[in-house]
Amino acid sequence: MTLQRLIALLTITAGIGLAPNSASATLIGLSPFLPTIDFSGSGNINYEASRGIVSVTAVPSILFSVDPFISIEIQNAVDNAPKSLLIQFQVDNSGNLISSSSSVPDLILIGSVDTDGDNLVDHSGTLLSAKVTQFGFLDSANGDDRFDLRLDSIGGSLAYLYSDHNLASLVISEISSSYTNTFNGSFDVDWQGQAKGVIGLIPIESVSPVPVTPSFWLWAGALASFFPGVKFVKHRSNNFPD
Amino acid sequence: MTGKKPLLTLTLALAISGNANATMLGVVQTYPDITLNQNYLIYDNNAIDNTTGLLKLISFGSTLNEGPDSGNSTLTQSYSGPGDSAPNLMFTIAIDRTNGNWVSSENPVANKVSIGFGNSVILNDPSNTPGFSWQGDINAFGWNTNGTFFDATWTMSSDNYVDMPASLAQFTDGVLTDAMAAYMGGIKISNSAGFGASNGFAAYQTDWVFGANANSLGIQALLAPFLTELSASACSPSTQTGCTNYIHSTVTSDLFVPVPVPAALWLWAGALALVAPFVKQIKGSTLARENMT
Repeated sequence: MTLQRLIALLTITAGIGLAPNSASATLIGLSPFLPTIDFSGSGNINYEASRGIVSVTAVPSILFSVDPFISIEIQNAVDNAPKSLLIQFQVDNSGNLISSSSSVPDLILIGSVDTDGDNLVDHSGTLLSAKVTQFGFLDSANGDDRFDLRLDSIGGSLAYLYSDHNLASLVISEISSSYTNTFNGSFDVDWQGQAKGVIGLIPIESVSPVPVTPSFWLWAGALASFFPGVKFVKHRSNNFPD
Repeated sequence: MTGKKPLLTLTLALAISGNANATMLGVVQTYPDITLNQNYLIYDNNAIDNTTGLLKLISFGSTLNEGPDSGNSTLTQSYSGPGDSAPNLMFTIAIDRTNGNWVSSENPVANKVSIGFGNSVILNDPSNTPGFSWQGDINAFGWNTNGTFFDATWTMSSDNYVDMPASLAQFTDGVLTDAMAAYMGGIKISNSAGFGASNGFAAYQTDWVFGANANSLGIQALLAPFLTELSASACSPSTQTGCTNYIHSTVTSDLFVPVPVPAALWLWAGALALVAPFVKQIKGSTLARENMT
């Protein structure tokens, strides 16, 4: 009996730990700091409801930093791979991020840059890669929607610009004549819209203990107070068999 | 909407209503489009006179977008780089500081779209450095109360291109200006921080700068040529008046012509651009034949 309850307790604890994180019916409120990478209005954001996959595809345009001063156009990679940005991750039908255990990055930015202005390419190929850890969204009344993302596990040849920080991306999806089936606040149906935005630096979120719901504490408290009673009944059954 | 008339009616309706509340124009994004990169939104509340302020959008780069479809091309140009750290002025909007309404101003710098060529473009130079330039006049402005979205309409007065790649061959000098003379273009601005404490009309009665790290001295040094007319002291707290608010924010903006794009016309222009070299060739050989005879 005690072992069964222990297993139940462990199962519940594990369930809380594995539950979808970062439920957000609103924006997280991230605004990327420098260094930033802009992506232009030819991009799009697409949601496939059957798999819960959100994809942002766009063309990166400018890398900008103040210290060191960098303001340059991102070019195709030297192996002729076209400059590109892909952010892809999974959500449930309420828009909660479902964390992936895969080592495949959720964000991949490809291109080449000359960061010191000597007309020689300094970095080419995968400039940035990262994993999405938080996702927020806002279905604006005027039709221009916003999405924000926090990302960690930063890789790629420009990762040094973001060391000891997270990445943030703010995606703007304007009401556009090219898209008729745009985000209306629901993750139950497919939608697609225009996308442009910015990727940049954000301080690492201070780590707090896994939040435990009040109902769990009530349940655990009740269980603890119930244990002595169980022991007593078991003891009496053993001593006074029918 | 097939011309200026419905938009003009909307603008008049907004003007007559007196804009008791902040109102977006409801501009819908179209293609071709220019996305402005690494932007700063600068507002000088008495730039023109005691009742009229000037909103400026400053950018470090711009990207011409052919369209959203797979295979469509983009071209990015930069306004700064080694030896030149200053951004460029992209457009200005005159605003009534008492109510946030657009103002038709005689001031020569007001209500202008002035997207210039990037730094790498050297006109009449044999080197292949592509670039683009759109110029025009802004004729209406809208905003939402919390200052997170703004929109505007504008009329193109010229469009010019240098060394455009084959994938963007339909962009030739004046092609959009001529074809879209009967239409208005749109401008959209997104400002993630919004007005915050100085929500609503009051926001137009003080100076402010929005953009990435706008509150840092490094950025203020780069923006210095555009800050000279603003109040010298920085606001602290942000609700102060008679000072400039420097607020970290993500500012995005794009401009597009016209509203809406007649797709068939754009395809026709693209086809024409492709055919033009052959027409020249045929004309050349006809002339040569005539000369021989």
